[in-house]
Amino acid sequence: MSTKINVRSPFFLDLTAPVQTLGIFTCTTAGLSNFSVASSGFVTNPLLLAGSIVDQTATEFPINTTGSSIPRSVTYTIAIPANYTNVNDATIDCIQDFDQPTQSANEDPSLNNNCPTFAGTIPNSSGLASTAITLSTYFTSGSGADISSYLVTKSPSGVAVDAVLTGTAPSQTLTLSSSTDCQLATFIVTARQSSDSCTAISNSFTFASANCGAYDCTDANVVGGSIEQDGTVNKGTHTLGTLNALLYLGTDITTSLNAGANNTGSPVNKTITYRFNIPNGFSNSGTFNCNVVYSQPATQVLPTFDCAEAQITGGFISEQGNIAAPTLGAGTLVSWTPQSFAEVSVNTPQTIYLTITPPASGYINSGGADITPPCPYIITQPATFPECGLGTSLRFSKQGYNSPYDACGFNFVGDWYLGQGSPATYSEMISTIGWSICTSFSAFAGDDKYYVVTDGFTSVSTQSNFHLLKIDNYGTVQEVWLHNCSGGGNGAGARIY
Amino acid sequence: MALKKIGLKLYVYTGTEGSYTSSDLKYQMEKDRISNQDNIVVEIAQLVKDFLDNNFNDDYVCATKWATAVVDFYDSETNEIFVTNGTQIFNYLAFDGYGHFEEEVNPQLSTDLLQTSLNMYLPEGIAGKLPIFAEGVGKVIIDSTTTEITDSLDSNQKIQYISIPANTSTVEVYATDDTTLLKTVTVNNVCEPKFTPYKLTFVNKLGAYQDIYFFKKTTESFNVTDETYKRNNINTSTVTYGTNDGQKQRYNINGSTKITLNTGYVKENFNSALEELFLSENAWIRWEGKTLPVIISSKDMTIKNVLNDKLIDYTVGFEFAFNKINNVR
Repeated sequence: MSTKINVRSPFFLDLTAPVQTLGIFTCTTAGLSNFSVASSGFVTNPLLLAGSIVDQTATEFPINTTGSSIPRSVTYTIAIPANYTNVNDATIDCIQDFDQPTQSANEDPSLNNNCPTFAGTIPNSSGLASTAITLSTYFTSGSGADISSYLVTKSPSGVAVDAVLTGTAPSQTLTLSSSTDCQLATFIVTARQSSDSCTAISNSFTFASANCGAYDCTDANVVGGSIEQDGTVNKGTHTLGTLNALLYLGTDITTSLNAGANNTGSPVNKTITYRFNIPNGFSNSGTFNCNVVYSQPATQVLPTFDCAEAQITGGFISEQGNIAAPTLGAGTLVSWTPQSFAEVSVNTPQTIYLTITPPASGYINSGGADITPPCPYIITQPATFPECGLGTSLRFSKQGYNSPYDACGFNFVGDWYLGQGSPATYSEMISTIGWSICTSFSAFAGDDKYYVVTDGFTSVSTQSNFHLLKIDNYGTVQEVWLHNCSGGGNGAGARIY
Repeated sequence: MALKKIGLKLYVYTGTEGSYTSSDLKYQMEKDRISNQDNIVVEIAQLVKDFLDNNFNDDYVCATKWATAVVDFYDSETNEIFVTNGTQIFNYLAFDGYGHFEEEVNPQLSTDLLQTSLNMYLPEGIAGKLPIFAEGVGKVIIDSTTTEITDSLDSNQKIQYISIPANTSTVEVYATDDTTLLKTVTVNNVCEPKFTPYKLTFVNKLGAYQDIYFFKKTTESFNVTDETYKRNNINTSTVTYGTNDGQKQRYNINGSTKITLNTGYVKENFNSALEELFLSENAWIRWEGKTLPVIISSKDMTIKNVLNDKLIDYTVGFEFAFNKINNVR
């Protein structure tokens, strides 16, 4: 039905910025890094550039005392953020591998009498407002050195369960509490001693506050997911519980993630069963099945290859204006215009127009013409830097973060680095991009990380509305973020420039 | 990724949706986003209105046109058109209609029958026309005769005027599924042995031509405008003037004809048709074998109802939309 304009009354066009697609979200896009498994079995979850972890196949492994490393693998289910082409797939699975090192002699309590030991099992607790755990019941200091501190790791970090250590190590008490109904968190405690790097870790245990009731599909809250024509199953996101298995017609497809191709010529409905492990704290236990019906299309739906799908990254413009071409995640770069720029006296974002040919297959426009119009891509051309080091002094963090959301977690206090910007005030520096950050009289190599910039405060973890600058290796400010850690967790914020 | 400005090209054209060419470009404009807002608002109805023509000559030709807004969205970071969906095309079908205040912004109104009154009055033995929107109607059943409605997709077929044979009783309007009855129009065939009924056609609220017959007494009046000047009528050679030669001369004389028409008794739910007639910009009367434009000279209308007035009739004054003496130059 056509939209009508009745011309004797006003007709308003309400025009807003079009949603920009970011291409296909892949494990590369997610940018998992820093995944590791300690000899003790402690799993350090990876940092993500984009997306969030929905589920993981393991949270810890047994201690490795075999004398050789053990290959370990954890599959992370990652929620696809908005604006990616495949956002309707809801999640992707990314596998992280790490060789768990064997316990070194220095870490072995039988060889190093400084090492603490862990014995027993810290029990799960549920239905309580709080519970106290006497850590000395489970951890024992080595004969050569006392436990100097305990580190409590909570997952997920944002859940409303408080973990407070009281007393003095090694005889500290860990109190877990929540004033909110049905809050679930998993904890691991690590005992450290200060003489060397020897640690001991506890078992993984859970705390659940009161009034959870019985676990059901409302708690699981499966959202999204799909089945492609060839049978590929894209899992939906879920909120509570860990996925025990994914079933189709009673068959476990957790690994294959395939429910069979649809060659019927018309869409068919298929029911996928999500089998969840019921978390501690609910009145029921074991597993719980949640059925989700998906419509499987009869034909493979191919995306259109556009500038976002090309996943343009990198590239460089020299101070003299010469262009080093960016790289593409997909497609072929044919040419670009202009070929060079004149020298600039201040760092200047320059737009390069890239002519890109779609990949030979996999897209609606595969085998077709180049993308039109050419894809604009912005690279900041560095100034010739006569002014580096002559500008306003700024205080910013020595620590650079892969994501602005990491800043809250590190909570470095008083760890500041004196930087100098190109001629700009603090307020100018946080209100536009392209400025230079210098150290002494050279550009500061920021490694494309995010740095907290401040005009006075010294604590981040409770700070509201502070700024972070993303700085590249040429000292150029690429992004400005406004962030807030006062709400706890990773905080909240957004890019403002 | 914020919106900096939009560039808008507005095309108004006939034919099928999207078939515009460069010659159909009527307006081109740019508008910046106001700094404290996220959106940009553009009102285009007033612009499109300039290009809708109502040239009614008793022929019931559809006057709708397509309006296409081609909008370029500019990114404030790059000053360039957004990479994804940076240019968007919005197609609309323009009608010479209007919404009421209560119908809020961008009124869509009826998408099937294009008149609000479900009663029609026709003289006995006279056929009529009923406007429908081809996109929303699958068929009409006139008494027991079914007429399938086909949307040719051309703007000149979007409003279709269904011929109603003489002495029809009802017209049923069905949705495009051909099974859902949307509206039933009752046709009242009026026997008027004394007065000459006059057909008045106007552009109604929904932008379609609608007929109203005035069955009862018609009065015609006439008024004249003129000017005079004083002549110098003396013969200077004989120093005389003729007494048959006037000292004042009349000029710029013209006249206009007014008529007053009466509907005869109508049902209460016919009020909306009269109300729309009063609010119409364009009206024509079938008068002595010609279709002549008229302007409604009546400015007040008292809405009548059965409770207060028992029998409902309306008297409406019109003025022909031209001078008596042809001075069209």
